[in-house]
Amino acid sequence: MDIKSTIKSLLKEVDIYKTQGLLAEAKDKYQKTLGFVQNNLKPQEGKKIIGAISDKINTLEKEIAIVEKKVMSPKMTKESQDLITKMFTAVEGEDKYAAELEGAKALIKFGQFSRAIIELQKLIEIEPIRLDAARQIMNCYLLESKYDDVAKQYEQWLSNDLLTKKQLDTLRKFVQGAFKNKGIDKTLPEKTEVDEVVEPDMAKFEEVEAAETTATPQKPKEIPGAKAQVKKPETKPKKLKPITFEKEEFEEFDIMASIKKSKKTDVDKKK
Amino acid sequence: MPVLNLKKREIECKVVYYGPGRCGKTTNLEYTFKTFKKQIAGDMVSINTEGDRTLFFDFLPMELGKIKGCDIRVQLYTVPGQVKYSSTRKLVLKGVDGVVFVADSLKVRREKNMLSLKDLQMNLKEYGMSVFKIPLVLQYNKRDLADEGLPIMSIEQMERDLNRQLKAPSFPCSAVTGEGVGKTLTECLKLTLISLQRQFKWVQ
Repeated sequence: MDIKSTIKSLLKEVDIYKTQGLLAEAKDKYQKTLGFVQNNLKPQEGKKIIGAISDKINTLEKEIAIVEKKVMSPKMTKESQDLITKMFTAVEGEDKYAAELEGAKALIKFGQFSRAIIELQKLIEIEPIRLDAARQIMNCYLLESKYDDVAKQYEQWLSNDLLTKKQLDTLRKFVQGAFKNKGIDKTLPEKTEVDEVVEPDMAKFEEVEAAETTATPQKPKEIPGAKAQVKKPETKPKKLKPITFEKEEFEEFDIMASIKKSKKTDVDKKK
Repeated sequence: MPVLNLKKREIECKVVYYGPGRCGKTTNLEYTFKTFKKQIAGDMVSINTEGDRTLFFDFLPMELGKIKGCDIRVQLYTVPGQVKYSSTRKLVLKGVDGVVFVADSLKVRREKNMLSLKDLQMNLKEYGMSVFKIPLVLQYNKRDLADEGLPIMSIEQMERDLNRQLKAPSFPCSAVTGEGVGKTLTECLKLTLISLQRQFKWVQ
Protein backbone atom coordinates (compact mmCIF):
# COMPACT_ATOMS: atom_id res chain seq x y z
CA MET A 1 0.00 0.00 0.00
CA ASP A 2 1.37 3.42 -0.86
CA ILE A 3 1.67 6.22 1.68
CA LYS A 4 -1.52 8.02 0.61
CA SER A 5 -3.62 4.83 0.75
CA THR A 6 -2.20 3.95 4.17
CA ILE A 7 -3.10 7.38 5.53
CA LYS A 8 -6.59 7.10 4.03
CA SER A 9 -7.07 3.66 5.52
CA LEU A 10 -5.91 4.82 8.96
CA LEU A 11 -8.28 7.80 8.85
CA LYS A 12 -11.15 5.55 7.76
CA GLU A 13 -10.48 3.38 10.81
CA VAL A 14 -10.57 6.49 12.99
CA ASP A 15 -13.95 7.46 11.57
CA ILE A 16 -15.44 4.06 12.38
CA TYR A 17 -14.09 4.18 15.93
CA LYS A 18 -15.69 7.59 16.29
CA THR A 19 -19.07 6.36 15.05
CA GLN A 20 -18.74 3.45 17.51
CA GLY A 21 -18.19 5.97 20.29
CA LEU A 22 -14.71 4.58 20.93
CA LEU A 23 -13.17 7.99 21.40
CA ALA A 24 -9.96 6.92 23.16
CA GLU A 25 -9.29 4.39 20.41
CA ALA A 26 -9.98 7.04 17.75
CA LYS A 27 -7.53 9.42 19.42
CA ASP A 28 -4.94 6.68 19.61
CA LYS A 29 -5.34 5.96 15.91
CA TYR A 30 -5.07 9.66 15.05
CA GLN A 31 -1.79 9.77 16.94
CA LYS A 32 -0.52 6.73 15.05
CA THR A 33 -1.54 8.38 11.79
CA LEU A 34 0.28 11.52 12.85
CA GLY A 35 3.42 9.50 13.56
CA PHE A 36 3.12 7.75 10.22
CA VAL A 37 2.80 11.06 8.35
CA GLN A 38 5.76 12.57 10.19
CA ASN A 39 7.92 9.54 9.40
CA ASN A 40 6.94 9.11 5.77
CA LEU A 41 6.27 12.54 4.33
CA LYS A 42 8.66 15.44 3.97
CA PRO A 43 7.88 18.27 6.43
CA GLN A 44 6.58 20.51 3.64
CA GLU A 45 4.29 17.78 2.21
CA GLY A 46 2.94 16.67 5.55
CA LYS A 47 2.45 20.11 7.11
CA LYS A 48 -1.21 20.48 6.10
CA ILE A 49 -2.18 16.93 7.10
CA ILE A 50 -0.35 17.21 10.44
CA GLY A 51 -2.20 20.47 11.21
CA ALA A 52 -5.57 18.93 10.33
CA ILE A 53 -4.97 15.80 12.41
CA SER A 54 -3.74 17.85 15.38
CA ASP A 55 -6.97 19.87 15.28
CA LYS A 56 -9.01 16.68 15.20
CA ILE A 57 -7.09 15.32 18.21
CA ASN A 58 -7.85 18.52 20.13
CA THR A 59 -11.56 18.25 19.34
CA LEU A 60 -11.56 14.59 20.39
CA GLU A 61 -9.83 15.41 23.65
CA LYS A 62 -12.61 17.89 24.46
CA GLU A 63 -15.24 15.25 23.68
CA ILE A 64 -13.44 12.70 25.86
CA ALA A 65 -13.30 15.19 28.74
CA ILE A 66 -17.09 15.68 28.53
CA VAL A 67 -17.73 11.92 28.56
CA GLU A 68 -15.28 11.34 31.41
CA LYS A 69 -16.94 13.96 33.60
CA LYS A 70 -19.13 11.99 35.94
CA VAL A 71 -22.70 13.13 36.20
CA MET A 72 -23.55 12.77 39.89
CA SER A 73 -27.18 13.75 39.90
CA PRO A 74 -28.67 13.62 36.43
CA LYS A 75 -32.21 14.80 35.79
CA MET A 76 -34.73 12.01 35.57
CA THR A 77 -38.45 11.92 34.91
CA LYS A 78 -40.82 10.97 37.73
CA GLU A 79 -41.71 7.79 35.84
CA SER A 80 -38.05 6.77 35.74
CA GLN A 81 -37.69 7.50 39.45
CA ASP A 82 -40.80 5.41 40.14
CA LEU A 83 -39.33 2.56 38.11
CA ILE A 84 -36.12 2.71 40.14
CA THR A 85 -37.97 2.57 43.46
CA LYS A 86 -40.01 -0.36 42.16
CA MET A 87 -37.21 -2.32 40.51
CA PHE A 88 -34.47 -1.99 43.07
CA THR A 89 -36.47 -2.64 46.18
CA ALA A 90 -36.02 -6.16 47.45
CA VAL A 91 -37.34 -6.63 50.96
CA GLU A 92 -38.17 -10.03 52.36
CA GLY A 93 -41.74 -10.36 53.62
CA GLU A 94 -44.31 -7.65 53.29
CA ASP A 95 -42.90 -4.83 55.38
CA LYS A 96 -44.32 -1.86 53.49
CA TYR A 97 -42.24 0.79 55.22
CA ALA A 98 -38.99 -1.14 54.96
CA ALA A 99 -39.69 -1.51 51.23
CA GLU A 100 -40.33 2.23 50.91
CA LEU A 101 -37.10 2.95 52.75
CA GLU A 102 -35.24 0.63 50.37
CA GLY A 103 -36.85 2.49 47.47
CA ALA A 104 -35.60 5.81 48.83
CA LYS A 105 -32.12 4.34 49.25
CA ALA A 106 -32.20 3.19 45.61
CA LEU A 107 -33.05 6.75 44.56
CA ILE A 108 -30.00 7.99 46.47
CA LYS A 109 -27.79 5.44 44.74
CA PHE A 110 -29.01 6.77 41.40
CA GLY A 111 -28.31 10.34 42.47
CA GLN A 112 -31.97 11.36 42.79
CA PHE A 113 -31.46 13.21 46.06
CA SER A 114 -34.36 15.68 45.97
CA ARG A 115 -36.96 12.98 45.33
CA ALA A 116 -35.33 10.73 47.93
CA ILE A 117 -35.60 13.50 50.56
CA ILE A 118 -39.32 13.94 49.79
CA GLU A 119 -39.90 10.20 50.34
CA LEU A 120 -37.71 10.09 53.46
CA GLN A 121 -39.48 13.05 55.07
CA LYS A 122 -42.66 10.94 54.96
CA LEU A 123 -40.88 7.87 56.35
CA ILE A 124 -39.35 9.75 59.26
CA GLU A 125 -42.83 9.78 60.83
CA ILE A 126 -42.71 5.98 61.15
CA GLU A 127 -40.97 4.95 64.37
CA PRO A 128 -39.23 1.67 63.50
CA ILE A 129 -37.45 3.27 60.55
CA ARG A 130 -37.26 6.84 61.86
CA LEU A 131 -33.54 6.88 62.63
CA ASP A 132 -32.59 5.18 59.37
CA ALA A 133 -34.74 7.63 57.40
CA ALA A 134 -33.17 10.58 59.24
CA ARG A 135 -29.68 9.24 58.58
CA GLN A 136 -30.50 8.87 54.86
CA ILE A 137 -31.76 12.48 54.72
CA MET A 138 -28.43 13.61 56.17
CA ASN A 139 -26.66 11.33 53.71
CA CYS A 140 -28.43 13.06 50.80
CA TYR A 141 -27.31 16.51 51.94
CA LEU A 142 -23.77 15.26 52.56
CA LEU A 143 -23.56 13.66 49.10
CA GLU A 144 -24.71 16.94 47.58
CA SER A 145 -22.20 18.84 49.75
CA LYS A 146 -25.06 20.88 51.23
CA TYR A 147 -23.47 21.21 54.65
CA ASP A 148 -25.60 24.18 55.75
CA ASP A 149 -28.71 22.12 55.05
CA VAL A 150 -27.29 19.33 57.22
CA ALA A 151 -26.94 21.74 60.14
CA LYS A 152 -30.35 23.33 59.47
CA GLN A 153 -32.08 19.95 59.38
CA TYR A 154 -30.31 18.80 62.54
CA GLU A 155 -31.31 21.96 64.39
CA GLN A 156 -34.90 21.51 63.28
CA TRP A 157 -34.93 18.00 64.75
CA LEU A 158 -33.18 19.29 67.85
CA SER A 159 -35.96 21.81 68.44
CA ASN A 160 -38.84 19.37 68.11
CA ASP A 161 -39.58 16.06 69.79
CA LEU A 162 -39.53 13.85 66.73
CA LEU A 163 -36.24 12.18 67.60
CA THR A 164 -35.10 11.02 71.02
CA LYS A 165 -31.86 12.21 72.58
CA LYS A 166 -30.29 8.86 71.80
CA GLN A 167 -31.35 9.04 68.15
CA LEU A 168 -30.07 12.62 67.88
CA ASP A 169 -26.76 11.55 69.42
CA THR A 170 -26.41 8.75 66.86
CA LEU A 171 -27.17 11.19 64.04
CA ARG A 172 -24.77 13.80 65.40
CA LYS A 173 -21.96 11.26 65.57
CA PHE A 174 -22.73 10.10 62.02
CA VAL A 175 -22.67 13.66 60.67
CA GLN A 176 -19.59 14.72 62.65
CA GLY A 177 -17.76 11.66 61.29
CA ALA A 178 -18.73 12.62 57.74
CA PHE A 179 -17.71 16.25 58.33
CA LYS A 180 -14.34 15.11 59.67
CA ASN A 181 -13.75 12.90 56.60
CA LYS A 182 -14.60 15.79 54.30
CA GLY A 183 -12.52 18.28 56.29
CA ILE A 184 -15.55 20.41 57.21
CA ASP A 185 -15.09 22.47 60.36
CA LYS A 186 -18.62 22.41 61.78
CA THR A 187 -19.85 21.20 65.14
CA LEU A 188 -23.41 20.17 65.76
CA PRO A 189 -24.71 20.88 69.27
CA GLU A 190 -25.69 18.05 71.59
CA LYS A 191 -29.20 17.79 72.93
CA THR A 192 -28.94 19.02 76.50
CA GLU A 193 -32.37 17.96 77.69
CA VAL A 194 -32.14 15.03 80.12
CA ASP A 195 -34.38 12.04 79.55
CA GLU A 196 -37.22 11.69 82.06
CA VAL A 197 -35.96 9.83 85.17
CA VAL A 198 -38.29 7.36 86.82
CA GLU A 199 -38.15 7.84 90.57
CA PRO A 200 -37.62 4.60 92.50
CA ASP A 201 -40.53 3.41 94.59
CA MET A 202 -39.26 4.28 98.11
CA ALA A 203 -41.79 2.11 99.93
CA LYS A 204 -40.48 -0.94 98.12
CA PHE A 205 -36.94 0.20 98.82
CA GLU A 206 -37.56 0.31 102.55
CA GLU A 207 -39.14 -3.15 102.35
CA VAL A 208 -36.01 -4.52 100.72
CA GLU A 209 -33.75 -2.76 103.21
CA ALA A 210 -35.62 -4.37 106.11
CA ALA A 211 -35.30 -7.81 104.59
CA GLU A 212 -31.56 -7.33 104.17
CA THR A 213 -31.03 -6.87 107.92
CA THR A 214 -31.85 -10.54 108.54
CA ALA A 215 -28.90 -12.86 109.07
CA THR A 216 -28.73 -14.91 105.86
CA PRO A 217 -27.32 -13.17 102.83
CA GLN A 218 -29.91 -13.00 100.07
CA LYS A 219 -29.93 -12.43 96.41
CA PRO A 220 -30.52 -8.69 95.92
CA LYS A 221 -34.14 -7.96 95.08
CA GLU A 222 -35.05 -5.76 92.19
CA ILE A 223 -36.30 -2.32 93.10
CA PRO A 224 -38.75 -1.05 90.50
CA GLY A 225 -37.43 2.06 88.78
CA ALA A 226 -33.97 1.86 90.31
CA LYS A 227 -31.00 0.83 88.26
CA ALA A 228 -28.91 -1.71 90.11
CA GLN A 229 -25.22 -1.71 89.50
CA VAL A 230 -24.31 -5.35 89.24
CA LYS A 231 -20.70 -6.32 89.52
CA LYS A 232 -19.90 -9.07 87.13
CA PRO A 233 -17.24 -11.60 88.06
CA GLU A 234 -13.99 -10.76 86.36
CA THR A 235 -13.41 -12.93 83.34
CA LYS A 236 -10.21 -13.45 81.46
CA PRO A 237 -10.21 -11.68 78.07
CA LYS A 238 -10.89 -14.10 75.25
CA LYS A 239 -7.96 -14.83 73.02
CA LEU A 240 -8.99 -13.89 69.47
CA LYS A 241 -8.18 -16.25 66.66
CA PRO A 242 -7.39 -14.85 63.22
CA ILE A 243 -10.29 -15.17 60.79
CA THR A 244 -9.90 -18.00 58.33
CA PHE A 245 -11.55 -17.62 54.97
CA GLU A 246 -12.37 -20.61 52.90
CA LYS A 247 -10.73 -20.63 49.54
CA GLU A 248 -13.37 -20.12 46.89
CA GLU A 249 -13.32 -22.14 43.77
CA PHE A 250 -13.58 -19.10 41.54
CA GLU A 251 -10.42 -17.59 42.89
CA GLU A 252 -8.77 -19.63 40.25
CA PHE A 253 -10.57 -17.66 37.59
CA ASP A 254 -7.38 -16.11 36.26
CA ILE A 255 -8.52 -14.02 33.36
CA MET A 256 -6.07 -11.35 34.44
CA ALA A 257 -3.27 -13.77 33.59
CA SER A 258 -4.46 -13.59 29.99
CA ILE A 259 -4.20 -9.80 30.10
CA LYS A 260 -0.69 -9.93 31.52
CA LYS A 261 0.19 -12.56 28.96
CA SER A 262 -1.27 -10.49 26.12
CA LYS A 263 0.70 -7.45 27.27
CA LYS A 264 3.86 -9.51 27.48
CA THR A 265 3.27 -10.82 23.95
CA ASP A 266 2.79 -7.27 22.71
CA VAL A 267 6.07 -6.23 24.31
CA ASP A 268 7.80 -9.28 22.85
CA LYS A 269 6.44 -8.41 19.42
CA LYS A 270 7.73 -4.86 19.74
CA LYS A 271 11.14 -6.21 20.70
CA MET B 1 -33.66 -13.53 43.01
CA PRO B 2 -36.59 -14.56 40.86
CA VAL B 3 -40.13 -13.85 41.96
CA LEU B 4 -41.91 -17.17 42.14
CA ASN B 5 -45.58 -17.52 42.82
CA LEU B 6 -46.16 -21.23 42.55
CA LYS B 7 -49.80 -20.89 43.60
CA LYS B 8 -50.51 -18.62 40.67
CA ARG B 9 -47.91 -20.49 38.61
CA GLU B 10 -45.94 -17.33 37.81
CA ILE B 11 -42.21 -16.81 37.54
CA GLU B 12 -40.43 -13.50 37.07
CA CYS B 13 -36.70 -13.55 36.44
CA LYS B 14 -33.99 -11.04 35.69
CA VAL B 15 -31.44 -11.23 32.88
CA VAL B 16 -28.65 -8.66 32.71
CA TYR B 17 -26.60 -7.70 29.66
CA TYR B 18 -23.07 -7.00 30.89
CA GLY B 19 -19.96 -5.91 29.01
CA PRO B 20 -17.51 -3.08 28.40
CA GLY B 21 -18.66 0.37 27.35
CA ARG B 22 -19.83 0.71 23.75
CA CYS B 23 -19.91 -3.05 23.15
CA GLY B 24 -23.56 -3.04 22.03
CA LYS B 25 -25.64 -3.98 25.07
CA THR B 26 -28.30 -1.33 24.43
CA THR B 27 -28.31 -2.23 20.72
CA ASN B 28 -29.09 -5.83 21.71
CA LEU B 29 -32.09 -4.67 23.72
CA GLU B 30 -33.25 -2.28 21.00
CA TYR B 31 -33.16 -5.07 18.43
CA THR B 32 -35.04 -7.39 20.80
CA PHE B 33 -37.65 -4.69 21.39
CA LYS B 34 -38.15 -4.16 17.65
CA THR B 35 -38.14 -7.80 16.67
CA PHE B 36 -39.81 -9.85 19.38
CA LYS B 37 -42.96 -7.73 19.60
CA LYS B 38 -45.15 -10.67 20.62
CA GLN B 39 -43.09 -11.29 23.73
CA ILE B 40 -42.56 -7.66 24.71
CA ALA B 41 -44.68 -6.72 27.70
CA GLY B 42 -44.11 -2.97 27.79
CA ASP B 43 -41.95 -0.15 26.57
CA MET B 44 -38.21 -0.24 26.59
CA VAL B 45 -37.06 2.25 29.20
CA SER B 46 -33.64 3.82 29.00
CA ILE B 47 -32.83 5.46 32.29
CA ASN B 48 -30.79 8.49 31.39
CA THR B 49 -28.42 8.29 28.56
CA GLU B 50 -25.77 10.81 27.75
CA GLY B 51 -25.88 11.04 23.99
CA ASP B 52 -26.06 7.35 23.21
CA ARG B 53 -24.12 6.23 26.27
CA THR B 54 -26.04 4.46 29.01
CA LEU B 55 -25.56 6.23 32.31
CA PHE B 56 -27.81 4.04 34.41
CA PHE B 57 -29.55 1.14 32.74
CA ASP B 58 -31.99 0.06 30.06
CA PHE B 59 -34.98 -2.02 30.95
CA LEU B 60 -37.19 -4.21 28.79
CA PRO B 61 -39.99 -6.38 30.20
CA MET B 62 -40.88 -9.58 28.33
CA GLU B 63 -43.54 -12.24 28.68
CA LEU B 64 -42.63 -15.63 27.33
CA GLY B 65 -46.09 -17.08 27.86
CA LYS B 66 -46.70 -20.45 29.50
CA ILE B 67 -43.83 -22.88 29.87
CA LYS B 68 -44.70 -26.17 31.57
CA GLY B 69 -47.82 -24.57 32.98
CA CYS B 70 -46.07 -21.50 34.38
CA ASP B 71 -46.36 -17.92 33.15
CA ILE B 72 -42.81 -16.71 32.62
CA ARG B 73 -42.00 -13.04 32.80
CA VAL B 74 -38.50 -11.80 32.13
CA GLN B 75 -36.93 -8.44 32.89
CA LEU B 76 -34.01 -7.59 30.64
CA TYR B 77 -31.52 -5.02 31.88
CA THR B 78 -28.31 -3.52 30.59
CA VAL B 79 -25.62 -2.03 32.79
CA PRO B 80 -23.60 1.10 32.04
CA GLY B 81 -20.32 -0.15 30.62
CA GLN B 82 -18.06 2.76 31.47
CA VAL B 83 -15.64 1.97 34.28
CA LYS B 84 -16.70 5.02 36.35
CA TYR B 85 -20.25 3.70 36.79
CA SER B 86 -19.12 0.75 38.82
CA SER B 87 -21.62 1.24 41.67
CA THR B 88 -24.57 1.44 39.26
CA ARG B 89 -23.41 -1.73 37.53
CA LYS B 90 -23.32 -3.52 40.83
CA LEU B 91 -26.76 -2.25 41.77
CA VAL B 92 -28.32 -3.37 38.48
CA LEU B 93 -26.75 -6.80 38.92
CA LYS B 94 -28.49 -7.31 42.26
CA GLY B 95 -30.83 -10.30 42.16
CA VAL B 96 -29.75 -11.37 38.68
CA ASP B 97 -30.82 -14.81 37.43
CA GLY B 98 -28.97 -14.94 34.10
CA VAL B 99 -26.24 -12.96 32.36
CA VAL B 100 -25.43 -12.22 28.73
CA PHE B 101 -21.84 -11.03 28.51
CA VAL B 102 -21.45 -8.92 25.38
CA ALA B 103 -17.84 -8.78 24.22
CA ASP B 104 -16.57 -6.40 21.58
CA SER B 105 -14.85 -8.18 18.70
CA LEU B 106 -12.65 -5.22 17.83
CA LYS B 107 -8.98 -5.96 18.47
CA VAL B 108 -8.53 -2.61 20.22
CA ARG B 109 -11.12 -3.64 22.82
CA ARG B 110 -9.47 -6.91 23.80
CA GLU B 111 -8.29 -5.80 27.20
CA LYS B 112 -11.55 -3.95 27.95
CA ASN B 113 -13.47 -7.22 27.41
CA MET B 114 -11.29 -9.05 29.89
CA LEU B 115 -11.49 -6.31 32.49
CA SER B 116 -15.26 -6.19 32.19
CA LEU B 117 -15.56 -9.96 32.60
CA LYS B 118 -13.35 -9.76 35.65
CA ASP B 119 -15.56 -6.93 36.96
CA LEU B 120 -18.61 -9.16 36.44
CA GLN B 121 -16.97 -11.95 38.39
CA MET B 122 -16.08 -9.61 41.27
CA ASN B 123 -19.56 -8.09 41.45
CA LEU B 124 -21.23 -11.50 41.39
CA LYS B 125 -18.87 -12.65 44.11
CA GLU B 126 -19.95 -9.72 46.28
CA TYR B 127 -23.53 -10.97 45.98
CA GLY B 128 -22.38 -14.47 46.90
CA MET B 129 -22.67 -15.78 43.34
CA SER B 130 -20.13 -17.47 41.11
CA VAL B 131 -19.44 -16.63 37.48
CA PHE B 132 -19.02 -20.37 36.96
CA LYS B 133 -22.44 -21.22 38.34
CA ILE B 134 -24.72 -18.45 37.11
CA PRO B 135 -26.49 -19.05 33.79
CA LEU B 136 -24.11 -17.22 31.47
CA VAL B 137 -23.88 -16.79 27.71
CA LEU B 138 -21.09 -15.00 25.87
CA GLN B 139 -21.78 -12.95 22.78
CA TYR B 140 -19.01 -11.88 20.44
CA ASN B 141 -20.53 -8.73 18.99
CA LYS B 142 -19.64 -6.46 16.06
CA ARG B 143 -18.60 -9.28 13.73
CA ASP B 144 -19.91 -7.10 10.85
CA LEU B 145 -17.08 -4.61 11.33
CA ALA B 146 -14.69 -7.01 9.60
CA ASP B 147 -16.47 -6.10 6.35
CA GLU B 148 -15.52 -2.48 6.91
CA GLY B 149 -11.87 -3.48 7.05
CA LEU B 150 -11.47 -3.06 10.79
CA PRO B 151 -9.18 -5.47 12.62
CA ILE B 152 -11.34 -7.84 14.68
CA MET B 153 -10.36 -10.83 16.79
CA SER B 154 -10.99 -14.36 15.63
CA ILE B 155 -13.64 -16.36 17.47
CA GLU B 156 -10.88 -18.74 18.58
CA GLN B 157 -8.94 -15.92 20.16
CA MET B 158 -12.02 -14.59 21.94
CA GLU B 159 -12.79 -18.09 23.21
CA ARG B 160 -9.23 -18.37 24.50
CA ASP B 161 -9.35 -14.93 26.10
CA LEU B 162 -12.74 -15.11 27.73
CA ASN B 163 -14.15 -18.59 27.70
CA ARG B 164 -11.16 -20.83 28.39
CA GLN B 165 -12.29 -21.59 31.91
CA LEU B 166 -15.95 -20.65 31.82
CA LYS B 167 -16.85 -22.88 28.87
CA ALA B 168 -20.15 -21.02 28.52
CA PRO B 169 -22.21 -21.14 25.33
CA SER B 170 -21.03 -18.40 22.98
CA PHE B 171 -22.38 -16.79 19.82
CA PRO B 172 -20.89 -14.55 17.15
CA CYS B 173 -23.21 -11.61 16.68
CA SER B 174 -23.94 -8.33 15.03
CA ALA B 175 -26.45 -6.49 17.16
CA VAL B 176 -26.83 -3.79 14.50
CA THR B 177 -28.07 -6.29 11.91
CA GLY B 178 -29.63 -8.54 14.54
CA GLU B 179 -27.60 -11.58 13.62
CA GLY B 180 -27.13 -13.74 16.72
CA VAL B 181 -29.19 -11.49 19.03
CA GLY B 182 -32.14 -13.87 19.28
CA LYS B 183 -29.96 -16.97 19.59
CA THR B 184 -28.00 -15.41 22.46
CA LEU B 185 -31.11 -14.40 24.38
CA THR B 186 -32.89 -17.72 23.78
CA GLU B 187 -29.89 -19.66 25.09
CA CYS B 188 -29.59 -17.45 28.15
CA LEU B 189 -33.30 -17.79 28.93
CA LYS B 190 -33.08 -21.56 28.48
CA LEU B 191 -30.16 -21.80 30.91
CA THR B 192 -31.87 -19.44 33.37
CA LEU B 193 -35.09 -21.46 33.43
CA ILE B 194 -33.18 -24.74 33.80
CA SER B 195 -31.29 -23.22 36.72
CA LEU B 196 -34.54 -21.99 38.33
CA GLN B 197 -36.05 -25.44 37.87
CA ARG B 198 -33.03 -26.97 39.63
CA GLN B 199 -33.39 -24.51 42.50
CA PHE B 200 -37.14 -24.31 42.90
CA LYS B 201 -38.54 -27.37 41.07
CA TRP B 202 -41.32 -25.35 39.50
CA VAL B 203 -42.03 -28.00 36.86
CA GLN B 204 -43.97 -30.77 38.52
